[in-house]
Amino acid sequence: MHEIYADLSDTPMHFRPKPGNSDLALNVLANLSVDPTTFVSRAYDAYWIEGKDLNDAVVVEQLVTDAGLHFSAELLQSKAIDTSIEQAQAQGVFEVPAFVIEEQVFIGREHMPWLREIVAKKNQTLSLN
Amino acid sequence: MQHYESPLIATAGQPAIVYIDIKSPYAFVALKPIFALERELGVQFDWRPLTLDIPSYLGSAKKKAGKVVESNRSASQWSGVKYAYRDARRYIERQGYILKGTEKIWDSSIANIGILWVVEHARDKLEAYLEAVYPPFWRRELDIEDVAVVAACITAAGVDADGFEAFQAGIGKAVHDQLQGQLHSNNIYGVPTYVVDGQILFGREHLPLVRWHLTGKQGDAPDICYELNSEPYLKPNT
Repeated sequence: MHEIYADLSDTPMHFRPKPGNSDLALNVLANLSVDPTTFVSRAYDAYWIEGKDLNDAVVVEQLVTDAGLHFSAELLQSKAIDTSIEQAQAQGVFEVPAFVIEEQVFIGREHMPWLREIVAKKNQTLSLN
Repeated sequence: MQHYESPLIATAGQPAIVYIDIKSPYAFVALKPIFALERELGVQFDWRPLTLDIPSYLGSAKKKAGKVVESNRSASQWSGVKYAYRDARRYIERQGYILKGTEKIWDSSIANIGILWVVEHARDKLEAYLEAVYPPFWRRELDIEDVAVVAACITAAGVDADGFEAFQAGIGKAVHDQLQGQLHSNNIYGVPTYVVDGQILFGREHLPLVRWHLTGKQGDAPDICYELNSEPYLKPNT
Protein backbone atom coordinates (compact mmCIF):
# COMPACT_ATOMS: atom_id res chain seq x y z
CA MET A 1 0.00 0.00 0.00
CA HIS A 2 2.85 2.38 0.86
CA GLU A 3 4.40 1.66 -2.53
CA ILE A 4 1.26 2.96 -4.26
CA TYR A 5 1.47 6.35 -2.57
CA ALA A 6 5.25 6.57 -2.98
CA ASP A 7 4.81 6.00 -6.72
CA LEU A 8 1.97 8.50 -6.98
CA SER A 9 4.02 11.20 -5.25
CA ASP A 10 7.16 10.35 -7.26
CA THR A 11 9.05 9.54 -4.08
CA PRO A 12 11.71 6.92 -4.92
CA MET A 13 11.39 4.89 -1.72
CA HIS A 14 13.28 1.63 -1.32
CA PHE A 15 11.39 -1.03 0.60
CA ARG A 16 13.77 -3.51 2.16
CA PRO A 17 12.84 -7.17 2.59
CA LYS A 18 13.61 -6.80 6.31
CA PRO A 19 13.34 -3.44 8.14
CA GLY A 20 16.66 -1.97 9.23
CA ASN A 21 17.50 -1.04 12.80
CA SER A 22 17.13 2.69 13.50
CA ASP A 23 18.09 2.75 17.19
CA LEU A 24 21.00 5.21 17.01
CA ALA A 25 19.05 7.74 14.95
CA LEU A 26 16.16 7.46 17.41
CA ASN A 27 18.55 7.99 20.31
CA VAL A 28 19.64 11.25 18.69
CA LEU A 29 16.04 12.32 18.19
CA ALA A 30 15.26 11.64 21.86
CA ASN A 31 18.37 13.48 23.06
CA LEU A 32 18.13 16.58 20.89
CA SER A 33 17.19 19.69 22.81
CA VAL A 34 16.66 21.80 19.68
CA ASP A 35 14.06 21.64 16.86
CA PRO A 36 14.64 18.15 15.41
CA THR A 37 12.68 18.53 12.15
CA THR A 38 15.68 19.03 9.86
CA PHE A 39 17.40 15.98 11.36
CA VAL A 40 14.22 13.88 11.08
CA SER A 41 13.72 14.85 7.46
CA ARG A 42 17.36 14.09 6.64
CA ALA A 43 17.20 10.73 8.46
CA TYR A 44 14.08 9.66 6.54
CA ASP A 45 15.69 10.50 3.20
CA ALA A 46 18.84 8.65 4.24
CA TYR A 47 16.94 5.49 5.15
CA TRP A 48 14.16 5.38 2.58
CA ILE A 49 15.79 6.96 -0.45
CA GLU A 50 19.53 6.53 0.02
CA GLY A 51 19.37 3.11 1.72
CA LYS A 52 21.62 4.12 4.62
CA ASP A 53 21.95 2.35 7.97
CA LEU A 54 20.43 4.43 10.79
CA ASN A 55 22.14 2.23 13.35
CA ASP A 56 25.62 3.11 12.11
CA ALA A 57 27.30 5.73 14.31
CA VAL A 58 29.28 7.23 11.43
CA VAL A 59 26.14 7.62 9.29
CA VAL A 60 24.16 9.11 12.15
CA GLU A 61 26.90 11.58 13.06
CA GLN A 62 26.95 12.74 9.43
CA LEU A 63 23.15 13.16 9.48
CA VAL A 64 23.39 15.35 12.56
CA THR A 65 26.05 17.48 10.87
CA ASP A 66 24.04 17.62 7.61
CA ALA A 67 21.12 18.93 9.63
CA GLY A 68 23.30 21.81 10.78
CA LEU A 69 23.47 20.57 14.36
CA HIS A 70 26.41 20.04 16.68
CA PHE A 71 27.25 16.37 17.20
CA SER A 72 28.40 14.96 20.53
CA ALA A 73 28.70 11.34 21.66
CA GLU A 74 26.00 11.89 24.31
CA LEU A 75 23.45 12.13 21.51
CA LEU A 76 23.89 8.42 20.86
CA GLN A 77 23.04 7.33 24.39
CA SER A 78 19.84 5.36 24.84
CA LYS A 79 18.48 6.51 28.21
CA ALA A 80 16.18 9.18 26.77
CA ILE A 81 14.69 6.91 24.12
CA ASP A 82 13.96 4.22 26.73
CA THR A 83 12.03 6.78 28.78
CA SER A 84 10.28 8.10 25.68
CA ILE A 85 9.18 4.59 24.64
CA GLU A 86 7.88 3.84 28.14
CA GLN A 87 5.87 7.08 28.14
CA ALA A 88 4.49 6.41 24.68
CA GLN A 89 3.41 2.88 25.58
CA ALA A 90 1.75 4.17 28.74
CA GLN A 91 -0.24 6.58 26.56
CA GLY A 92 -1.40 3.71 24.32
CA VAL A 93 0.98 4.24 21.42
CA PHE A 94 1.84 0.96 19.72
CA GLU A 95 2.63 2.00 16.14
CA VAL A 96 3.99 4.93 14.20
CA PRO A 97 3.39 7.57 13.11
CA ALA A 98 1.41 8.36 16.23
CA PHE A 99 0.14 11.74 17.38
CA VAL A 100 -0.79 12.51 20.97
CA ILE A 101 -2.89 15.62 21.35
CA GLU A 102 -5.42 16.63 23.99
CA GLU A 103 -5.02 13.21 25.65
CA GLN A 104 -6.05 11.47 22.45
CA VAL A 105 -3.83 9.09 20.48
CA PHE A 106 -4.09 9.11 16.70
CA ILE A 107 -2.16 6.44 14.85
CA GLY A 108 -1.49 7.05 11.18
CA ARG A 109 -1.25 10.10 8.96
CA GLU A 110 -4.80 9.54 7.74
CA HIS A 111 -5.94 11.48 10.80
CA MET A 112 -4.48 14.75 9.50
CA PRO A 113 -7.89 16.40 8.92
CA TRP A 114 -8.89 15.85 12.57
CA LEU A 115 -5.45 16.90 13.82
CA ARG A 116 -5.66 20.08 11.74
CA GLU A 117 -9.08 20.77 13.21
CA ILE A 118 -7.78 20.41 16.79
CA VAL A 119 -4.78 22.62 16.10
CA ALA A 120 -6.95 25.25 14.39
CA LYS A 121 -9.30 25.34 17.39
CA LYS A 122 -6.35 25.66 19.75
CA ASN A 123 -4.93 28.51 17.68
CA GLN A 124 -8.31 30.21 17.62
CA THR A 125 -8.58 29.93 21.39
CA LEU A 126 -5.07 31.32 21.80
CA SER A 127 -5.80 34.27 19.52
CA LEU A 128 -8.97 35.08 21.47
CA ASN A 129 -7.10 35.13 24.78
CA MET B 1 -28.01 -15.89 -8.47
CA GLN B 2 -24.69 -16.09 -10.30
CA HIS B 3 -21.41 -16.87 -8.55
CA TYR B 4 -18.88 -14.04 -8.74
CA GLU B 5 -16.64 -14.33 -11.76
CA SER B 6 -13.70 -12.77 -9.93
CA PRO B 7 -12.98 -11.00 -6.62
CA LEU B 8 -11.31 -8.26 -8.66
CA ILE B 9 -13.80 -7.67 -11.48
CA ALA B 10 -17.09 -5.90 -10.88
CA THR B 11 -20.11 -8.00 -11.71
CA ALA B 12 -21.97 -5.58 -13.95
CA GLY B 13 -19.30 -3.13 -15.01
CA GLN B 14 -19.58 -0.98 -11.88
CA PRO B 15 -16.64 1.41 -11.45
CA ALA B 16 -15.50 -0.08 -8.13
CA ILE B 17 -16.01 -3.04 -5.83
CA VAL B 18 -16.50 -2.44 -2.10
CA TYR B 19 -15.97 -5.24 0.44
CA ILE B 20 -17.54 -4.87 3.88
CA ASP B 21 -18.40 -6.94 6.95
CA ILE B 22 -21.21 -6.15 9.37
CA LYS B 23 -18.99 -6.98 12.37
CA SER B 24 -16.27 -4.51 11.43
CA PRO B 25 -16.40 -1.15 13.21
CA TYR B 26 -14.16 0.31 10.51
CA ALA B 27 -16.62 -0.76 7.81
CA PHE B 28 -19.40 0.88 9.85
CA VAL B 29 -17.50 4.17 9.87
CA ALA B 30 -16.86 3.91 6.13
CA LEU B 31 -20.44 3.33 5.01
CA LYS B 32 -21.79 6.86 4.89
CA PRO B 33 -18.71 8.31 3.20
CA ILE B 34 -18.86 5.57 0.54
CA PHE B 35 -22.57 6.09 -0.13
CA ALA B 36 -21.91 9.84 -0.21
CA LEU B 37 -19.26 9.22 -2.88
CA GLU B 38 -21.71 7.11 -4.91
CA ARG B 39 -24.17 10.01 -4.83
CA GLU B 40 -21.48 12.59 -5.58
CA LEU B 41 -20.41 10.66 -8.68
CA GLY B 42 -23.85 9.40 -9.66
CA VAL B 43 -22.70 5.77 -9.68
CA GLN B 44 -23.36 2.53 -7.82
CA PHE B 45 -20.52 0.36 -6.62
CA ASP B 46 -20.44 -3.43 -6.54
CA TRP B 47 -20.88 -4.09 -2.79
CA ARG B 48 -19.80 -7.51 -1.56
CA PRO B 49 -19.46 -9.25 1.79
CA LEU B 50 -16.13 -10.24 3.29
CA THR B 51 -16.78 -12.25 6.43
CA LEU B 52 -13.68 -11.64 8.54
CA ASP B 53 -11.91 -14.44 10.37
CA ILE B 54 -10.91 -12.17 13.25
CA PRO B 55 -9.33 -14.79 15.57
CA SER B 56 -6.81 -15.67 12.86
CA TYR B 57 -5.16 -12.24 13.08
CA LEU B 58 -6.38 -10.53 16.25
CA GLY B 59 -6.81 -13.49 18.57
CA SER B 60 -10.14 -14.11 20.24
CA ALA B 61 -11.81 -13.09 23.48
CA LYS B 62 -15.19 -13.19 25.17
CA LYS B 63 -16.59 -10.60 27.55
CA LYS B 64 -19.38 -10.90 30.05
CA ALA B 65 -20.78 -7.90 31.92
CA GLY B 66 -17.90 -5.80 30.58
CA LYS B 67 -15.20 -8.17 31.85
CA VAL B 68 -12.99 -10.43 29.76
CA VAL B 69 -13.81 -14.02 30.66
CA GLU B 70 -11.85 -15.77 27.91
CA SER B 71 -8.91 -14.57 25.83
CA ASN B 72 -5.96 -15.83 23.81
CA ARG B 73 -4.86 -12.36 22.69
CA SER B 74 -1.32 -11.05 23.17
CA ALA B 75 -0.74 -7.64 24.79
CA SER B 76 -0.06 -6.03 21.43
CA GLN B 77 -3.20 -7.62 19.93
CA TRP B 78 -5.21 -6.14 22.83
CA SER B 79 -3.63 -2.71 22.24
CA GLY B 80 -4.61 -2.94 18.59
CA VAL B 81 -8.17 -4.04 19.31
CA LYS B 82 -8.73 -1.40 22.00
CA TYR B 83 -7.33 1.34 19.81
CA ALA B 84 -9.42 0.19 16.83
CA TYR B 85 -12.61 0.50 18.87
CA ARG B 86 -11.66 3.86 20.37
CA ASP B 87 -10.73 5.19 16.97
CA ALA B 88 -13.84 3.93 15.21
CA ARG B 89 -16.01 5.21 18.07
CA ARG B 90 -14.75 8.81 17.92
CA TYR B 91 -15.31 8.93 14.16
CA ILE B 92 -18.73 7.25 14.20
CA GLU B 93 -19.88 9.64 16.92
CA ARG B 94 -19.13 12.49 14.53
CA GLN B 95 -21.64 10.83 12.20
CA GLY B 96 -24.29 10.74 14.94
CA TYR B 97 -24.09 7.03 15.75
CA ILE B 98 -23.19 4.95 18.80
CA LEU B 99 -20.59 2.20 18.83
CA LYS B 100 -20.30 -0.23 21.74
CA GLY B 101 -17.57 -2.85 21.70
CA THR B 102 -18.96 -6.32 21.06
CA GLU B 103 -18.91 -8.93 23.82
CA LYS B 104 -17.86 -11.74 21.51
CA ILE B 105 -16.72 -12.24 17.94
CA TRP B 106 -19.94 -12.64 16.03
CA ASP B 107 -20.56 -14.86 13.03
CA SER B 108 -21.72 -12.20 10.60
CA SER B 109 -22.21 -14.50 7.64
CA ILE B 110 -26.04 -14.44 7.67
CA ALA B 111 -26.19 -10.64 7.80
CA ASN B 112 -23.50 -10.51 5.12
CA ILE B 113 -25.49 -12.92 2.94
CA GLY B 114 -28.27 -10.39 3.47
CA ILE B 115 -26.12 -7.97 1.44
CA LEU B 116 -26.19 -10.46 -1.45
CA TRP B 117 -29.96 -10.78 -1.14
CA VAL B 118 -30.59 -7.05 -1.18
CA VAL B 119 -28.15 -6.42 -4.03
CA GLU B 120 -29.91 -9.15 -6.02
CA HIS B 121 -33.48 -8.03 -5.30
CA ALA B 122 -33.43 -4.28 -4.67
CA ARG B 123 -29.99 -2.68 -5.10
CA ASP B 124 -31.43 0.77 -4.42
CA LYS B 125 -32.33 -0.39 -0.90
CA LEU B 126 -28.81 -1.45 0.06
CA GLU B 127 -28.11 1.66 2.10
CA ALA B 128 -31.44 1.20 3.91
CA TYR B 129 -30.57 -2.43 4.68
CA LEU B 130 -27.16 -1.55 6.03
CA GLU B 131 -28.78 1.24 8.02
CA ALA B 132 -31.20 -1.33 9.47
CA VAL B 133 -28.34 -3.62 10.49
CA TYR B 134 -25.20 -1.67 11.39
CA PRO B 135 -26.44 0.94 13.91
CA PRO B 136 -28.54 -1.44 16.06
CA PHE B 137 -25.87 -4.15 15.90
CA TRP B 138 -23.29 -1.69 17.16
CA ARG B 139 -25.67 -0.57 19.90
CA ARG B 140 -25.74 -4.28 20.92
CA GLU B 141 -29.43 -4.48 20.06
CA LEU B 142 -29.33 -6.96 17.17
CA ASP B 143 -28.61 -10.68 17.08
CA ILE B 144 -27.14 -10.98 13.60
CA GLU B 145 -26.74 -14.76 13.98
CA ASP B 146 -30.55 -15.12 14.00
CA VAL B 147 -31.98 -15.56 10.50
CA ALA B 148 -35.35 -14.13 11.53
CA VAL B 149 -33.68 -10.97 12.85
CA VAL B 150 -31.75 -10.47 9.62
CA ALA B 151 -34.91 -11.13 7.58
CA ALA B 152 -36.69 -8.47 9.65
CA CYS B 153 -33.91 -6.00 8.79
CA ILE B 154 -34.37 -6.79 5.10
CA THR B 155 -38.09 -6.14 5.45
CA ALA B 156 -37.42 -2.95 7.40
CA ALA B 157 -35.32 -1.76 4.48
CA GLY B 158 -38.32 -2.14 2.21
CA VAL B 159 -37.15 -5.33 0.55
CA ASP B 160 -39.22 -8.51 0.26
CA ALA B 161 -37.58 -11.11 2.51
CA ASP B 162 -39.71 -14.01 1.29
CA GLY B 163 -37.30 -16.83 0.54
CA PHE B 164 -34.35 -15.33 2.42
CA GLU B 165 -34.25 -18.16 4.94
CA ALA B 166 -33.79 -20.74 2.19
CA PHE B 167 -31.40 -18.44 0.33
CA GLN B 168 -29.05 -17.95 3.28
CA ALA B 169 -28.86 -21.70 3.78
CA GLY B 170 -28.64 -22.55 0.08
CA ILE B 171 -27.46 -20.58 -2.94
CA GLY B 172 -26.71 -17.42 -0.95
CA LYS B 173 -24.41 -19.35 1.37
CA ALA B 174 -22.77 -21.11 -1.58
CA VAL B 175 -22.04 -17.81 -3.34
CA HIS B 176 -20.84 -16.25 -0.09
CA ASP B 177 -18.59 -19.16 0.79
CA GLN B 178 -17.14 -19.44 -2.68
CA LEU B 179 -16.29 -15.74 -2.65
CA GLN B 180 -14.65 -15.97 0.79
CA GLY B 181 -12.50 -18.81 -0.50
CA GLN B 182 -11.14 -16.59 -3.28
CA LEU B 183 -10.38 -13.43 -1.33
CA HIS B 184 -7.17 -14.12 0.60
CA SER B 185 -5.40 -15.58 -2.42
CA ASN B 186 -6.25 -12.33 -4.22
CA ASN B 187 -4.82 -10.17 -1.41
CA ILE B 188 -8.21 -9.08 -0.11
CA TYR B 189 -8.26 -9.67 3.62
CA GLY B 190 -9.82 -6.72 5.46
CA VAL B 191 -12.66 -4.24 5.29
CA PRO B 192 -13.49 -1.88 3.90
CA THR B 193 -11.55 -2.80 0.80
CA TYR B 194 -12.07 -1.05 -2.51
CA VAL B 195 -11.06 -2.46 -5.88
CA VAL B 196 -10.76 0.26 -8.47
CA ASP B 197 -8.93 0.11 -11.80
CA GLY B 198 -7.64 -3.29 -10.70
CA GLN B 199 -5.99 -1.75 -7.63
CA ILE B 200 -6.81 -3.15 -4.19
CA LEU B 201 -7.11 -0.47 -1.50
CA PHE B 202 -7.71 -1.61 2.09
CA GLY B 203 -9.07 0.96 4.53
CA ARG B 204 -11.43 3.89 4.32
CA GLU B 205 -8.45 6.25 4.29
CA HIS B 206 -8.13 5.44 0.58
CA LEU B 207 -11.50 6.93 -0.34
CA PRO B 208 -9.86 10.15 -1.63
CA LEU B 209 -7.77 8.00 -3.99
CA VAL B 210 -10.88 6.10 -5.11
CA ARG B 211 -12.53 9.43 -5.94
CA TRP B 212 -9.39 10.55 -7.79
CA HIS B 213 -9.42 7.36 -9.89
CA LEU B 214 -13.11 7.69 -10.68
CA THR B 215 -12.90 11.34 -11.68
CA GLY B 216 -10.21 10.95 -14.30
CA LYS B 217 -7.09 11.24 -12.11
CA GLN B 218 -7.05 14.99 -12.44
CA GLY B 219 -4.33 16.88 -10.62
CA ASP B 220 -1.98 15.39 -8.05
CA ALA B 221 -3.04 12.14 -6.42
CA PRO B 222 -4.38 12.73 -2.90
CA ASP B 223 -2.73 11.23 0.15
CA ILE B 224 -4.59 8.90 2.49
CA CYS B 225 -6.95 10.60 4.91
CA TYR B 226 -10.09 10.14 6.94
CA GLU B 227 -12.28 12.87 5.55
CA LEU B 228 -14.38 14.60 8.17
CA ASN B 229 -18.08 15.14 7.78
CA SER B 230 -18.90 18.71 8.73
CA GLU B 231 -22.36 17.74 10.03
CA PRO B 232 -23.56 14.42 11.46
CA TYR B 233 -25.17 12.25 8.76
CA LEU B 234 -27.98 11.49 11.19
CA LYS B 235 -29.25 12.83 14.44
CA PRO B 236 -27.60 10.96 17.30
CA ASN B 237 -29.31 7.69 18.17
CA THR B 238 -29.90 8.12 21.85
